[in-house]
Amino acid sequence: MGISFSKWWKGIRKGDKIVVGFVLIFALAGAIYPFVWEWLGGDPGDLQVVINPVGAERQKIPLAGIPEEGKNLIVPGPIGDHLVEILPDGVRVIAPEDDPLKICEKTGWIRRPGATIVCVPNQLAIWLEGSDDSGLDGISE
Amino acid sequence: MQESKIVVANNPYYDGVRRLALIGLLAAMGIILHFIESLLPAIAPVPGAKLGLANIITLMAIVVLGIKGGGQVLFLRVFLGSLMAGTFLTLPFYLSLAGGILAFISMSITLFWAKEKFSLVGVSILGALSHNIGQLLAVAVIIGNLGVFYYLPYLALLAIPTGLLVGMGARYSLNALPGIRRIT
Repeated sequence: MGISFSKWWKGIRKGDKIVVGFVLIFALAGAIYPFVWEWLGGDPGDLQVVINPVGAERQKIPLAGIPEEGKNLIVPGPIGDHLVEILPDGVRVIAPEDDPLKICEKTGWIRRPGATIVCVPNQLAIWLEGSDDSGLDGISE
Repeated sequence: MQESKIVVANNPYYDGVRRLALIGLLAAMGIILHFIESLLPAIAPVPGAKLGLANIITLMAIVVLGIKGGGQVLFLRVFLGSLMAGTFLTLPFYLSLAGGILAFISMSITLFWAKEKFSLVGVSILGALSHNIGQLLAVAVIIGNLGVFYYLPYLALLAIPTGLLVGMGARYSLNALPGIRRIT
């Protein structure tokens, strides 16, 4: 028997369109919300990076105090040491060798308040937040 | 949707064996798809985003075997798959389980209680979305921090094309299999 791949949209029903519509609206709204918030005059204040290994104390470092050439930190965890690279305008991590997926490293540079780097195997969360806590970063508390 | 309906026998032994064989086949294909997907490079710029190929199998299993059989396939796939990959009771296992269960619940609900409103495409987009939410919840619990939900809008956006592909995959696979009876 043959399968025709043309006219695949024939089977699409009303519910499908509603789902796609809702997901699109939600996703686009969520994606552009921080930009609109800033455009309307919202100011997160001075950014600081929060380094939070699970079960250990949080470390907050204001980006304003970081020198131009950056600052590197070693954060130990259950499977190895994370290298955290902090620049005045962003943060990224280099995963330890034993990290199987290295999702945290692939996240790349984070530069906006609320942006998060998570390494699940090494139990580490790093995020940026504004010094003014009333803003976007309520989510990370 | 056109299907060939072959009513085989009313023999209860036949039905039981057939069901058992289907569960085994679907679970095996799910494990293989999951493995193939782990070989693909991550192309999406969002951390943790993936295609969700194994969801084709969960979706087909619910359609062909119902909620109970679909659940059996899901648990077999996650448990056996993680045993074979050596990740049983470690983090990837819990992430798979959390995402799989949430996707399974949402797809079962839509397939059984709103089936005339949705095609498999809509069902699988909902499944992809709930898979994302389940995994983010699991990460949030492990890390003790809701920050990962920052990525939900981007993951939700990607759930549309991946859910569409998965739904199409399930639909064409079901249409191409003669003699398979749908219960939904």
